Amino acid sequence: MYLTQIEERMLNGEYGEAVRKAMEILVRIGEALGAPRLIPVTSVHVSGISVNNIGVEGVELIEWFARNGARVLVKRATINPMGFDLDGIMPRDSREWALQLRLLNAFRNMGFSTMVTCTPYDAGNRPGRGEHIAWSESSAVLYANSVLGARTNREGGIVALAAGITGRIYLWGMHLDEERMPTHLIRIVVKDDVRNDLYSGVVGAIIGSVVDGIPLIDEGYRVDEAGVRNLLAAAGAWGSLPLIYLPGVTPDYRDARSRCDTCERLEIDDREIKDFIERVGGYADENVDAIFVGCPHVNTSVLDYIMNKLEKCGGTKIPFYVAVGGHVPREYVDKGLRLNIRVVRGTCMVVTELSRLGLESIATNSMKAAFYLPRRHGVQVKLGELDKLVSIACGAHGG
Amino acid sequence: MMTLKGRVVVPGVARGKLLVIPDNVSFYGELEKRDLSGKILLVEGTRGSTVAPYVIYRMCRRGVAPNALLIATRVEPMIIAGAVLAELVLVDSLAELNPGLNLQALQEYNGVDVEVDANSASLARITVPAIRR
Repeated sequence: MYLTQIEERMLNGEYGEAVRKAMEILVRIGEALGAPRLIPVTSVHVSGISVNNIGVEGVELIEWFARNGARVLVKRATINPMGFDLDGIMPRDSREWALQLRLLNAFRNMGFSTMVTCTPYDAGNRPGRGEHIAWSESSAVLYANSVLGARTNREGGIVALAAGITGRIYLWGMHLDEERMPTHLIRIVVKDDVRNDLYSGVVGAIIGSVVDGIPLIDEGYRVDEAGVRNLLAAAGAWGSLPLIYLPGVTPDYRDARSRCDTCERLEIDDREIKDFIERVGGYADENVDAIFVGCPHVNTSVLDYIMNKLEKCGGTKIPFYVAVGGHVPREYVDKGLRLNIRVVRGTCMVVTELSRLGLESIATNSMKAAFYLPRRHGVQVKLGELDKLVSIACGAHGG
Repeated sequence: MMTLKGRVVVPGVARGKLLVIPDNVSFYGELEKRDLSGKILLVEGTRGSTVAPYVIYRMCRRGVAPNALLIATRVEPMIIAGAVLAELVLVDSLAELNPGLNLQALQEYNGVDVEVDANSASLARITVPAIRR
C-alpha cells in the first residue's frame, strides 16, 4: 500500500506508540483488502462502548491508547451508547458503572464527544454529502451513506478509533464510486395503511435478510423521517448492508436509479410484510411487561410527541422505556418520571443488562430491537407502530 | 517434512504445537473459552464479530492466545485488528496457495511442533515435520 511521508512516520512510531498501533491496524487491514492507499476522514463514530461487551481488558486497551498519545485528528468524533444510562434510571452495579466511567473518561481524554448516542447525526456529528468518514454503528452507517450521502464502510469499533487517531481510513468499498452502484431494484407494493413506522422497519428487515449487494427502492415508496430511520436500522440488524438508495431521500438517487435498469428485481408486498411480523412475534397488546421505543435513539421531536400524548391520558399504565442520546437535556428525564416514562439517556435496551429487570415480553416499534432482544436477552418481542404503543401505554380506555 | 505456504497478514515468526480446527470459528463466545497458549492454530475460517479484537486482546493479556493464527480462507478485518493489538502472527489464504489442502486430514498432525516464518514481504512458510504413522 502506498503511504505518504507523514503516514510512514506514524507507522514508524514517531508520533507515539498509540498512533503507531492505530496506523498498523489500518495498513494491515487495507493491504489484506487490496486498498491502494489511505484517505483522510473528517468524522468518526466508535461502537463497542458497553463494558458488558468489551470487559475490563477492553477498558484497559482504550486507556492504553489514551495514555500513549492518542488524540482525535478529525473534526467530529462521537461514541455509541453504553451499558448504563447516564442518570441511573435503570439499575446499575456500582463496580461496572465505575468501569464504564473509566472508559468514558479515556474517550474524553482523546478528544471524543461523550454524548453517547447511536444517532450521532442528531448530536453535532453530521457529515455532508461526499465526505469520507469512518463509522462503526450499523444503523448510523446506513444513515450516513443513504441519507447524508457521506461515505463509510461498516467499520469495527477499533478500526473507527484507529481512523480517529490517525485521521485516515483505507480507500476501499463504500469510499469508491463503483462500489456504490445499485445492484438490486426493490419494488414495495403496499396499501396506504402499510406505510407507518413499524411497517417501514419490516421492509428494512426483509431487504437486509435477502439482499447481498446495494439495494435501490423504486420510486413510489415514501416514508417520513422516523420511518426512514426504522427502515435503515432494521436493514443493518437483519443483514450487513452499508447503503440503501431511498427515493426522495438519498442525494444521488436519480443518478443511481438511471443505472439500475440491469439490477436484479425484487418485490415486497403487504402479505409478506404482515407474515414477517407474525414470524417475529406478532402484534402488541396490553399484555406485555414493558414498552420500548428508541432503537435507534429517538430525537426530541418524537420524544415530545410521546410525552404530549401521555400527558393527555395521565401517564403510562405499564413500564415505558424511551432511549435517547446523551445530548438530550436532563429535563426530559425528569418530565418523563412525572409521566411514569423512563427516559434513558446514553444507553438502550439492546446493550444494557436487561436480565436485571426481569422482563419477559416487550412491545416495540423497532425492527432492530426485534432482532436483538430475543437473541441477546431471551425476551419475547411484540410489535406495534408508535401510535399503537402509546395507546397501549394509556390503557384501553385512556387513549 | 512438509512446507505449507500462506499470505502474510501480520508478520512475525512463531513456533508451537499445531492445532487444526477444520471449521469456521468465532473468537467471541467460542475460542475465548479455551487455552490456546503455545499453539499454532489452523482454522478453515473465522466468523467475524465487532467484539473480536477485544476478545483476541483479552486472550493475549490472560496468556491464553495462540502463538500464531493460520486461516485457510481469507481473513476478516476484525481478526486483523485483534492480531495487531495482540501482536499475533497472522497468515491466511492457505487453501488458495496449497492446492488440495485438506484440514480434516491435517488433524493427524495435531500436537507436532511447527514453525511459522511470516517475516518475508508477502509469502509465509509453515514447516510441519513428518510424523510416524
